[in-house]
Amino acid sequence: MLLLITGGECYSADAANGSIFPTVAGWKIAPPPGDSVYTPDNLWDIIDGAAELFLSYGFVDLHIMEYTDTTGTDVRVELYRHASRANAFGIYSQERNPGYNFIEIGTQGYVEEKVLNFLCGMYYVKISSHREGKAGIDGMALIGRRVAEHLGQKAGWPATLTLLPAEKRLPNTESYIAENFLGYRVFHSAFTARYEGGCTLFIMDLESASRARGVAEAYMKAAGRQLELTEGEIADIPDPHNGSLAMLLKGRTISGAFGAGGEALAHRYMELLKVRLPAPE
Amino acid sequence: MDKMDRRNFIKSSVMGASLSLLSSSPLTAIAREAGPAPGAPGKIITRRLGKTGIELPVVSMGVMRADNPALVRAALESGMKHLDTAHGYQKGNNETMLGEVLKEHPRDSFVISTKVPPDAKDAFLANLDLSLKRLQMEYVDILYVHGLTSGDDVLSSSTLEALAAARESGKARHVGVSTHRNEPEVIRAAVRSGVYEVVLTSINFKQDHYREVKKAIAEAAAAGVGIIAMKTMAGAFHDKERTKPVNCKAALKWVLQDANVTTAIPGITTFDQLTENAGVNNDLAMTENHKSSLVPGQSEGGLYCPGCPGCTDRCTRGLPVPDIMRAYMYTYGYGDARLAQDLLAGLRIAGDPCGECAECTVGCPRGFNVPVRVRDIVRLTSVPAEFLG
Repeated sequence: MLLLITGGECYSADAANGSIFPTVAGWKIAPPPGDSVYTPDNLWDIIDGAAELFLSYGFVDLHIMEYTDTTGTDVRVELYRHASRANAFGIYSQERNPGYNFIEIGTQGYVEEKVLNFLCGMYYVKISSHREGKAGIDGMALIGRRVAEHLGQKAGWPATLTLLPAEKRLPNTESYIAENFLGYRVFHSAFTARYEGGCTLFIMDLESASRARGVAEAYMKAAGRQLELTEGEIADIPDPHNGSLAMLLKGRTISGAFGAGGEALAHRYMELLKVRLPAPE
Repeated sequence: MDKMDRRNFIKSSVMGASLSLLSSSPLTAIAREAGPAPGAPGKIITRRLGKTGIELPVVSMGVMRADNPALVRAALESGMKHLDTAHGYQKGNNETMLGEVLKEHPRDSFVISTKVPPDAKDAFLANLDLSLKRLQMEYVDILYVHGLTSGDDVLSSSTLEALAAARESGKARHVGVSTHRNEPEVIRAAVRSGVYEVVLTSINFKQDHYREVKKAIAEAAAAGVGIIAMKTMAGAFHDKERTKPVNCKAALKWVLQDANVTTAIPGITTFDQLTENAGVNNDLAMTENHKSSLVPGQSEGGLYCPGCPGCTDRCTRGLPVPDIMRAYMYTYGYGDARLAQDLLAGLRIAGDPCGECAECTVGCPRGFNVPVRVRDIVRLTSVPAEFLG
């Protein structure tokens, strides 16, 4: 009860009331006119063709709320919930650009004029305001931080992503490709990052070593290659569509490197990655 | 070292011993339906886009979900000419990726469209400028106002003024509207306006109102408004649980049987899909298999395994029988042998898994002859993926 008395700053009380949105002192809260909740069946109605990408990242539902303060600053919050932290990171990374103005909010966020987006566990949060300038940005940041706290999501990046070496990694180029990685249906659930010299590293952590080998072999077949992959050894695969690929099968992981830097550079990065991979069970 | 480029790979993968393996089998029919591979010779079927004068292959590329530049390059190599994106896809990253790829190609070698959301004239034009900057181009061939769902929106004076300004400035060669709801109303309003030159519309075999959409399309075509089709795959699955895939080639051909549709922009995210869709550019004919695969329920008759418990336990080899039966249904019900092959690859099943059993212990309650179906479908694992059109 004490918590309830503290009003807008009380996240626990909000959670007890079952609201996904926090109340915030000094701000009125109301759902937008019309629909305020969307599911995979009607996501098209609000984001048109972009819905297809969200659906491919395990979109679960979207909740929308609008906040207004006494000065008339408006803030609209859209909570896109996805089926996993990896999926939420994936859709966030699809829309992120390394050149954005990043801020500390949730796991990571960025702010632009009238827009503040961030990743928060299984949620991709999009915040917008019609108010220009500092007042709009401050309002979005305040509401955004309250939302992040209220959602109570575990902080940090997906565990598999942290296996990619930090050395010479280009900031904010990490991504997660849920399906059809490199244009192959057999490749899915790939974490990637770009590195100095034009190299891209990727890693897929699959359910088991057997599954990883099955996927790797299916890829080789799809790529028309008949090379034998030896556990723990980096192999050069001349991919017919994507150029040369340095690939490593280790335990339940498939990892690799490709890009403009050539095979030698790819191998150097793969050696950095190799030592970070968990030992086979 | 294994050196094989994309073209040689595609040519060689349709050859070899796998052909004889498939003789006298239903699988042979599926293999024979495979269209020409990307880059393969063959006359590409083209149609004119209304009064714009643009001539396009009947199949184009919806770039929307593609984040792989190699896929776009392969699409252009296959003979596709038209690429469709939007200001909002991946918050602009889609346009940026396309710009990086297309700067390598002569400007007149492709036709690009983008879509900008409806807004006040200045904001709309500012967004167009941002799209052009991302695309590294001075103009787009087709500029759509994105996702309108009513005639009033189509005829809004601010929208019409913004489109006219974009065209007059030379930043858009042609202007249009995209719609995925209330399509007949939107199409007819576009025709009435006298401003729109192209309509990008949803149309597929699953739409309850597809006859009305086709009627509006015919009216637009008669008025010289070009029609481009989207959502042709109808969600890619017959069911909400995503267990019964649509035969995408059949669905695409179904839309393109209507000569009033100039081209379609199926979303392409794999090289398999590209091969399949590029094949339609040379061959629009619908087989009986194609037609029946688009009738819900008809394509799975006698093939659907409900996955009742016990099969795997009863199999002395512990085979995942329901999964293998699903692969069988994918192949013979939905004509998607590639999906079946992927499924089998993930299960790591190959060879003759029933070879050591004199008698099957599974005893399917539906009466499926399990060992016959297992033996038949497992042969797919030895067929090169590109052979499965």
